[in-house]
Amino acid sequence: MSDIEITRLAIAYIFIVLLYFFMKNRKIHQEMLLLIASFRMTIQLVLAGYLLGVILEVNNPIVTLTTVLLMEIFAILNIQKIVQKKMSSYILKSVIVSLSSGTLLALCFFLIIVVNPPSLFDPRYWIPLAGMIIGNAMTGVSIGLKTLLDNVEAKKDQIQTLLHLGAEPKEAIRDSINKSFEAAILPTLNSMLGMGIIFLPGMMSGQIIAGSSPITAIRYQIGIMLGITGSVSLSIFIFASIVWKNFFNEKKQFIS
Amino acid sequence: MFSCHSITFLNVIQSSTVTIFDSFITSIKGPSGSGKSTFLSFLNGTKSPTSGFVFYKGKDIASMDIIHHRRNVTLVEQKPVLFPGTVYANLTIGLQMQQKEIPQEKQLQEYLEDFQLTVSLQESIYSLSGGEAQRVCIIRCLLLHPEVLLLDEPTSALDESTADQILQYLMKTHKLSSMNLIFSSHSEKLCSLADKTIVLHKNRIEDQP
Repeated sequence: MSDIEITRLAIAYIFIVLLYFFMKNRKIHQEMLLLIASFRMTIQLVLAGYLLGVILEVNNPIVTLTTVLLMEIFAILNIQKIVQKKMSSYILKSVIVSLSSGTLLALCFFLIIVVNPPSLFDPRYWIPLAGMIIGNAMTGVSIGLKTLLDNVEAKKDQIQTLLHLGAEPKEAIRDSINKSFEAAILPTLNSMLGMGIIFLPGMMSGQIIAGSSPITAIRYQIGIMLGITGSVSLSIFIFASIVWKNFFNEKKQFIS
Repeated sequence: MFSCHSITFLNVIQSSTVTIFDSFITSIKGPSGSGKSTFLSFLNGTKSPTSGFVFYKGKDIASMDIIHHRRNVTLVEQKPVLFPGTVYANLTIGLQMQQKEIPQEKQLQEYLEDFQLTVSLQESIYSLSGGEAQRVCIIRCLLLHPEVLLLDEPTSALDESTADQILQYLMKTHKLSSMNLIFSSHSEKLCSLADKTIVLHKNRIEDQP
């Protein structure tokens, strides 16, 4: 695989420069965000590259698992940022339990049963696969949580009415939970629908550029897509199963 | 039937002892914002007083199976809340929640006629007026045959003649069945129909004979 020269890579920043002047010209006041985002992307990826180099070099199960744990923590912190709403401690606990158990179960299943690498804790497999699985589950849970909070707020009268009619709290909030599940899983299902026709996924493209045969790349891609679907659905399923309690007290009263 | 002891709710409601008798029609009178809706919510356990006790048939509501209690004591809210779908779906949603038998469409249609509703069961709820929606909400709760029907300002969205007819129907149902009626209102006329009136005045609940 031919390496990209630094000078040629620098030329790619021309798109950021063009976008900057376009924004300035059209008075779209997001220039600072564009600069910060480009800067952060560059620094974060450079650091991640060096860090990954070290992790691959060390090839130690404790280091690998600690890295995965850190990825989980950053994903949870990111969910808080994405949702942009104050989370109760119960919601935060639900996010932690659902995201970590959903992603770790899917990751272990995928790594041990499907990929079956020669060395079980080989970071070459763990880190990139954990990145994809945790990243997608993080997006799913954050969309699900945001949809749930918005939906419960919009439907608080209906939830209260169902309680007046003698519904169990879980039954009263079922519609909002289902809507949240649908919203969370939809991006993954849409991406499965378009894959291979509308776009080639990043991992598969990367493997092909790196010299793997397209058939091998496709096998990995199908596997990872199933792993991602599994982790997203498992995380959001666990999340939906426990988060509804946040909206009710021990007297089964609705607390909006 | 109900007895409330020393209940307070934030700084909105304060009371010593209030008793609501079985087989009575009880009205709760008071100006807007006096806590009538909150008081009704205490009775079916969808809200709890900050302090004090609410007893139903001699048992503290706080220690009861609250879902079972709400199925016995059903509240029709002042603001009609309907669910997207047909009139039929809205009438039967409570029955489905409580896993009770759904009456035949003919019977449901009779309920609509009794409540002066000319809509069909398959009509979308989006075509209903505020008054029609409120009547659908009342029928929805009547179909559950609760022991106590709590009505929060039941005639606030109705014109006078429709309100009178609905009240006559509710009085008739009260006489024919064992269902108790407790309603809130700031209308003197409506409250005069009750056997007993509880007054919410300056944040205090007072029993009135």
